[in-house]
Amino acid sequence: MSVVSYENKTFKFTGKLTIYKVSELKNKILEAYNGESTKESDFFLDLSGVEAIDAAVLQLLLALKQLVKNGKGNLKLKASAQTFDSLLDLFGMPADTFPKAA
Amino acid sequence: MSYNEEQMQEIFFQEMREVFEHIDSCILVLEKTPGDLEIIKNLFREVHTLKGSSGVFGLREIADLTHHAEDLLDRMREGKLEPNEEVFSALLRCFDRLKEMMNGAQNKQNLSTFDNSDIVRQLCDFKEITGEKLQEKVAAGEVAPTPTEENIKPGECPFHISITGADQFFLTGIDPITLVLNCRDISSGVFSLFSNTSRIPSLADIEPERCYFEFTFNFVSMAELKTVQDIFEFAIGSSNVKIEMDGVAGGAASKKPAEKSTEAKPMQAKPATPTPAAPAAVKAATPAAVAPAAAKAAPAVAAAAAKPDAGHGGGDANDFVRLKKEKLDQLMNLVGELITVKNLFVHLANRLEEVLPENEITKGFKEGTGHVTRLSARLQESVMNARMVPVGSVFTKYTRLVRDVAKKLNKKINLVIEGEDTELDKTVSEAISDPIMHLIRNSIDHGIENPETRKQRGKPETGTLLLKAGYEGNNVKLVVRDDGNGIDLDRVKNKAVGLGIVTQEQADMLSKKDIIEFIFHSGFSTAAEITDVSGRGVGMDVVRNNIRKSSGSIFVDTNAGQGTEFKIILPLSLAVIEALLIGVDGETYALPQEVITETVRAEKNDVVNLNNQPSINLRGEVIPLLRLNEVVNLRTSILDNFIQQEKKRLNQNEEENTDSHAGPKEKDDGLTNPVVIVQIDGLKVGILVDVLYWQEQIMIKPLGGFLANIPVFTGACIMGNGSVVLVLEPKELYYAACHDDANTAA
Repeated sequence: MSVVSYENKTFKFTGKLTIYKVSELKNKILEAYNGESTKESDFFLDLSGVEAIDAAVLQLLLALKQLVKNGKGNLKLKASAQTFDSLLDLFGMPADTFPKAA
Repeated sequence: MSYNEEQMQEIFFQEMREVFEHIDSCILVLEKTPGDLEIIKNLFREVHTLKGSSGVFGLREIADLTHHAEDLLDRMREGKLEPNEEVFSALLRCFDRLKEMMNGAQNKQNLSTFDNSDIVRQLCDFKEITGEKLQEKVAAGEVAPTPTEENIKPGECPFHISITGADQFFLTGIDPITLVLNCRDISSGVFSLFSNTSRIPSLADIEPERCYFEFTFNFVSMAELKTVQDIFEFAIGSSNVKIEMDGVAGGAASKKPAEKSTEAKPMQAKPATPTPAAPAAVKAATPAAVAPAAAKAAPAVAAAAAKPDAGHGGGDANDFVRLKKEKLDQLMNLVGELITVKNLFVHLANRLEEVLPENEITKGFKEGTGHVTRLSARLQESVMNARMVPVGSVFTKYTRLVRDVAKKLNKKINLVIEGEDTELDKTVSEAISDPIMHLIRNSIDHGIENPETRKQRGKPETGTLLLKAGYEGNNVKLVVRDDGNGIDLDRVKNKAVGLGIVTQEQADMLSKKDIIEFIFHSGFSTAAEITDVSGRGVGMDVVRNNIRKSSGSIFVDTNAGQGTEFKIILPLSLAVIEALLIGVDGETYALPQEVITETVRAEKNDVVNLNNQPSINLRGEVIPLLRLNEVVNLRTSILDNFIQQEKKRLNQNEEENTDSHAGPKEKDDGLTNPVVIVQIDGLKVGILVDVLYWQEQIMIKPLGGFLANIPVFTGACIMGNGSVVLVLEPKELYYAACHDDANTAA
C-alpha cells in the first residue's frame, strides 16, 4: 500500500513515514503537485493515518510547504496525527507551522 | 487526598497568573535596561514555562502564541534582535492577549475564537541583526551564549549546544530525535530547542539521506560535561557540535557542577522518560510521555529562577506551601471563635473571683484561663502573620499601569517604589489595590505635567511618582506622591461654590484642609475634560470609601507647582482588634481602641457651644463633642427591629444574661459624663457616652441584611458572656453626625 495518495489537492499519508520512504514520497508528491494546473490555491495534508514520522520526512514536508508557497498557494493541515504534533513540539516548532484547514 | 483534574487546573491557573505578573515586570525592567541579558534570560525562562505548562494542560492555542513570543526572545537573547520600545510593546501586547486567553480558558471559553494573527505578524516581522553588527555584539559580550547561568539550583549547570553541518546524520545512523530526547532526559526541566530549517532546499532538490536541520539546545542539568559529551559522541564525528557548559567551551571545560556546590548530586537519568529504542521515527506515545515530564518540572525551576531574590535568603521553594485564601480565612475565623471563648473564660474567672472565696479550684481555673489567654494570643498572632503579604505584590502591577498611562498621555514618568517588603493583611492589601490605582491615574493625568511644561517650569522633564510603604505604629502607611502641578485650591474652591456645596462667603473662610476635603465629594472633578484615564469625578470618592471600608484613612497634602502627596493609613489586620466597650442608653457598643487617644470626664463647665457645635475644652484645646446617644439613636430608633433580628441571627444560642456588664470600669454619676477622645482623619473628636466598661479583644463579624448598609456599624462581636455587641466605626459616626447636623440646619 502506498504511503501517500493524492486527491482533491489533498496529500493523504499513511503508515510509518521514515527516511526509507522519503525518496518514494518525494517523487509521488512532486508528480501530484506538478500535475495540478492551478497552483495558486489551497493544498492539504491529511496525516490521520500516520503511525510514525521521523526528521527526514519532516524536512520533506517543510520543503513541500515551501514549494506550495512558491507557487502562491497554501499548504494546510486537514488532519494531523499525534506523532506529528509531538515531533513539531520536540523540535521547538510552533503548532501552526502547518496551519490548520478551516 | 488526591488532586483531581479540576484542582490541578486551579493550581495551574494560579501559577500562570504569577508567571504573567513576573513576565510583565521583567519586560518593564528590560524596557529601562534593554541590554540586560540576565533579565532577558529570566524572561525567556518564564515564557518557556508558560508555553510548556499550557501545552501540558491542552491549551494549544496559548502554547502556540507563546511560542512566537519565545522565538522573539530567543532572537533577542542571541543578539539577533535589537531590544527596543517597539519590541517591548509587541511583547506586552502579546502577553495581554495571552492573559485574556488564559482567563478564557479558565472560563471554559473556546480559545480558537481568539484571532492572534496580527500579534503573530507583529512578533515575526521584526528585522534581525545580522553580519558584522551581530559579531560586534558577540565580541562585546552583549549576546547570550547560554540562556541559563544564574538562579539555578545547586549542582545544576546550564548547557548550550549547537549543531551545524549535520548533513551526514542520516547516513551515519544518527537520529536528531534521539539526541533531543536524550538531552531532555538529563535536563532538570528548563529546556529549549531551536530548529533552523532555512537550509532545507526546494522539494525537487532535496536529498532524502541528507539532514538539513541545524539545532540549538539550551538546557539546565545536573549532569557532568562528560555525560553530555557522551550523548553527542557519534554526532561529533559527522557534524559541527559545539557544547558549552556554564559559558565554557566543552572541550576545555574543567569546572564541574560538583565543584560549584557541595550540594551537587550525581546525574541520574529520569526513569519516567523513555528513550526511543532505535533512531527511527517518533512513536505516537514517546513524545507525549516526554513532554509533560519536562513541562511539569519547568514551572518549579523557572519560578524559583525567575524571582530576583531566589537563592538569596528567600528560602528554598520547597519551604513554601500554596494555600487557598479561604483556608486562612477559615483558620482566622476559628481563632476569632477561640478568642470569644477565651473571653468567656476570663469573664467566668472574674465572676468566680467575685462570688466565691479563693480556693484551689478557683485558683486553678484562673491560672488555666491565663494559659488559654496567652496561647490564644500567640495563635492569633501566628495566624495573622500567615495572612500577611508584602505590599510589593500590589505595587508591582502599577509599574505597567504607570508605563501605559504615561505613554498614552505623552508624559515621562519615573515610578519609584520604596518599602515593598512592608507586610499587610491579604484582605486589606486586596482592598486597597483599586484605590491606589485611582490615585496613580490621577497623579499621572492631573498631577505630573507634560515634558514641555515641566521644562518651562524648570523641572526635570521626567516626573517622579513615589509609591512608598512603611509601618507607623500598629498601622501601615502608604504614600503616593508626585512632583507635579499640585492641586489648584482656588479652582477646587470655585468649583465647590459653583456646585452649591458652599456659598462664596463660606468658601472664603475655609482652610486649606477644608478645601482639599471637597475633592472627596461624589461627582467632584476640576478636570477640564473627561478622559478615559480619569476626570469623571468618581475616583476620589470611591478611593476614600474603599479605604474606609478597610478601616483606613486618607490624608492629602498639596503644594502648588510642587506636587501632591496622598497618605493612606491602614490597620495591619481587620479581623481581631482591641476595643473599648461603652454604654449608651442601656446598649453596649464596642469602639476600636486604635482610634482612642484618651478617656476623660466632662464637667458641665467644660462643654461649650462653638458655632452651634458642642465642644469640650480639653486642657485648653477645643475639641468637637459628639453625643453618641443622639447619633446612634437617630439610627437605632428606626432600625431597632432590624438590629434585634440581626442579633438573633448572629447568636441564636444567646442566653439571657441579666448580669451582662457587672462591674463597669466607670459609671455615670449623673453629674459628669465620660468622654472618649478619638482621632479621626487627624481630627480629635470627643464622644460623649453614658458608661465606660472595659477593654477587650474582639473579633469583628460582618453584619448581614439591612444592617450591613449602615456605615456607622463596622460589624458585630460576641462577648464572653454570650451577648452580641455592635462595633462602631468612629469615622462614619462622626461624618453621620455632621451630616445630620447639616440636614437639621437645612
